[in-house]
Amino acid sequence: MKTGKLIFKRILQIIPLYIGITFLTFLLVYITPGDAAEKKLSSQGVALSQEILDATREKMGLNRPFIVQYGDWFFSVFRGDLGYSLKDGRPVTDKMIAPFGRTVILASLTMAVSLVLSFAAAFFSVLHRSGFFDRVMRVISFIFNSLPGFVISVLLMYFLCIKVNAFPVISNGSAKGMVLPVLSLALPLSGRFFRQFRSEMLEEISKPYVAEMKMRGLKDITIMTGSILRGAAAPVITIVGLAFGTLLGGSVVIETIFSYPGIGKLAMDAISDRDYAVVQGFVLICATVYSLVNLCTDIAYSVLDPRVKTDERDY
Amino acid sequence: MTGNNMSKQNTKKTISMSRRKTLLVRLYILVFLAAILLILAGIGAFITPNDPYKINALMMKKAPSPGFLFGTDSYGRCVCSRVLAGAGLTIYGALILVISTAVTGTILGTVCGYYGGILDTVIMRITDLMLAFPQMVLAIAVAGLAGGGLWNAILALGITGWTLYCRLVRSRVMSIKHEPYILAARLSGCSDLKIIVSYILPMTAGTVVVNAVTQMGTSIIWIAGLSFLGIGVRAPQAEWGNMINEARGTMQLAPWAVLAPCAAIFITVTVFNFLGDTVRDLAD
Repeated sequence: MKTGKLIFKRILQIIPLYIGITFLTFLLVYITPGDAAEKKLSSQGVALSQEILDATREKMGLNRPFIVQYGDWFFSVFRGDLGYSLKDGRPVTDKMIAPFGRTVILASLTMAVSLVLSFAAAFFSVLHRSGFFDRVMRVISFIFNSLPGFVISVLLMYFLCIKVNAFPVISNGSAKGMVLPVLSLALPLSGRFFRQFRSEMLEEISKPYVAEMKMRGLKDITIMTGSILRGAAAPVITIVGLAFGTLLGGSVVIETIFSYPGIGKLAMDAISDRDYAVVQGFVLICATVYSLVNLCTDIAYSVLDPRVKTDERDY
Repeated sequence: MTGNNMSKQNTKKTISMSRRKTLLVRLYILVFLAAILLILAGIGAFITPNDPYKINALMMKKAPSPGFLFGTDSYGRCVCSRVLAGAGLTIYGALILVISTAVTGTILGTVCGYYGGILDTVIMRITDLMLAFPQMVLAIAVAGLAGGGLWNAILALGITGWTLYCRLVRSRVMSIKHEPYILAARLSGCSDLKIIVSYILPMTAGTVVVNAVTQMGTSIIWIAGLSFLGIGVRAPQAEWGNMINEARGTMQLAPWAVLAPCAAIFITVTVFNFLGDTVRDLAD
């Protein structure tokens, strides 16, 4: 009952936040040095003259006051219209849909691989704490945690593509081509997850009820699968939600390296073409996905752990 | 065996003296290593065995040799010299990022926590907004639109970076501002500024330093990452991230040009991450 009210409040909170997100995204491109009209004309191969430039600025609505331009953009965003690419004139939304889908596939696979790897490893590490497996995993996770995704991907490329020639250097969407991008993203993420999951489980294990269960003669494995996992589930969900942000940023790098045609690659190409509208769309989509994921994790958290009052957030 | 391990958990709360001693020894070693890295990064540009920017058509993609310790890249430049010359940009860039975000966040967090009111609400809403963007996504867009360069990269990462410290310091200040000794200071006529500087900041310094140290490794990864994408430090200037990016095209013929900066990043980030872990463990 109470939880339902909290969830409703949390959903309402996202409205002002979303207005803020669109405002900041718009501002980002608005204050960028460079003239969109000039960029559009030069990419169309039109000879620049002051008259044409003025006419284009008028047509693109660049002469209107800031707040009018923002308002206009804000409402078109809700119609699913993110403007037109300055490079080829195509609607940004059309340009983004297919790459976005590919990035979702990449991100989901990465998330699945990281969760399976790190959760299994953390589980056995905690079960046999300070044992051989635990020690080895702690070192490995530390190493992966200290290696940036681009370093891992370059190393993987060197050993698996060039030395062994087992995988293609360019990821064109085939199953084999997905292996390296997914691994490059999943290894650092698993390193981080392992450390966080392990400490969450250890914290849960040190609570008095675990000692009580032990006194009643329950086996370690029973306590682990029954209570510890349930107790640690809520914090784990938050960790996973926050990791989506890292994943969205990391996929820009990895997609660029493997020429994977996702939204990150599109954004990097747009940055080098100075195609502001696409960059704007990219930032907005990432922020939207990220805040929706966080909304879901908050809701899941309050369902799993009703003690948490989401309206009295402690900063 | 495992049962024994589980029951040990209950005594974990209080950190034992011997554990503290090992942590301290570890801390000294890591501070020493970090100091070496900082010094190397500081003087790296002046102790290069060869000119890091000298293009030599006769020495292209040469394997490591006594003259060129880590070999040469596809322009015939000495990789070892470039790694040394680039260390300063990566490490000091990260240091500047960490210090500036920590200082900004601490000031804003203290003001928010101490005074509260409308200013607090506004700043907290801004941090909420910043946290709605994935940090690296916003940084890539800002640095990319701003046209690259180390300062733009630091600025782009700093836009969201300060929120971490702001929130931590704010909650810390809010919990100590009603302590009796603060009240006593106020009754004895201390100004707000004096209370903040003399009694509140020293109490928050620990949290800030611990978090700043743990952010060093990540900041190095971010700055090198932006440079790798070509929107941080620009080629031909040597920086680890952009060196990897430049050399990966010819990785088949000159792998050392990629592996050397990779190893440099790995060693540096490991030292700083390990230092961060140790500092955090000690603070607990």
